[in-house]
Amino acid sequence: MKPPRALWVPFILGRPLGQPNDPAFQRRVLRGALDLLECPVSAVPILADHPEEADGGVEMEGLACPVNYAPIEHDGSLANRLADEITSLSVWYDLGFERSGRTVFGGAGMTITEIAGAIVAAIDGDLPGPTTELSVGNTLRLAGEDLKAWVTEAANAQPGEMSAYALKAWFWTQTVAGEALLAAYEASKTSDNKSWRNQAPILIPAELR
Amino acid sequence: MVRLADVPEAERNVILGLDLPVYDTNPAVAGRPLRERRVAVISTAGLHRRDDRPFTPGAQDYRIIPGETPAGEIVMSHISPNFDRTGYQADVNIALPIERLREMAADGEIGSVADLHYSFMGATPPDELEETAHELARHLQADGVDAVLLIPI
Repeated sequence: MKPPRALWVPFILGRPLGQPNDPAFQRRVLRGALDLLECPVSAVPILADHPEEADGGVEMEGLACPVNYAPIEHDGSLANRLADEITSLSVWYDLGFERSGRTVFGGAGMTITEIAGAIVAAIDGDLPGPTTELSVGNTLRLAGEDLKAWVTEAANAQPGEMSAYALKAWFWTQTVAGEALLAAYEASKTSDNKSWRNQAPILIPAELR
Repeated sequence: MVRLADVPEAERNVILGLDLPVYDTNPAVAGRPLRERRVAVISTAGLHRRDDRPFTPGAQDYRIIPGETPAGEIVMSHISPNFDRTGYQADVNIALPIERLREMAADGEIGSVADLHYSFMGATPPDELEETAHELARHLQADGVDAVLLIPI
């Protein structure tokens, strides 16, 4: 087996074509890769460099933490604060879905409310049962990924542009969802369930474990 | 692939510690002109149709993504938390550029776009995927595909 021709691109992990919603930019990347097929065999580079940088999104402007200004009528527990956050962000998630016609949410097959409940329950050591296809750990991991997707899609629908780095920092330091996932990860360390102990770290960026 | 300087240290150390294959021949093989080639995409982003089975850690299998699948029906269950997903949330073409390929085919830059595209879960060690890769290559050949874009995430 021979290795493929390869184009190196200077874009952040997760964005191999460089810039979302920029067809001209993406086509230049594709052309850079596919044009390697036109190189004479004797002259194919081991690794060609793509010359164009992507901006990765400008720094965040206008993205607001979800703040519920309604009178607090609960005990401030994580479960209630997460429910508040979801309520506050729902209008933005719905708007994003309405505008783009797509969502990547849904891998776990649960509603966002069910997911919030499952994550909070897992923090308290109350784990869901396994399904025929998925272990407990995989079920909760997919639920966690859905929670991340739902919250970041809602944030992306808000006015203002944001960089991927800023959005990641926002999620993990300023949202209740991020707080809940970090708490679930901490709780998993002493869980009796091996699949959950194995899967929980995968929800958390390496630098935050 | 991002610059190593822009990767968190823990992830950078993993990448630097990876074994690199050694090849004893020229890597390239000749083929038809690009404007005559039929192009498929193979992603390692853990993409699949919404109703497909999600990927699990160590998965060695793949999912089929028919070219006509609406963007809203494609989801991602890659296990790594260490890459940006917001670009993909905003535009599926950032990882699965089938619309771009269609435009290039319409403009005559490539011959055609394959009917079927494929996705693996990229965190699996590549050498564990070799058998599956051979099987998939046979499907691609049967479909007349003679150029494949391997797109890591």
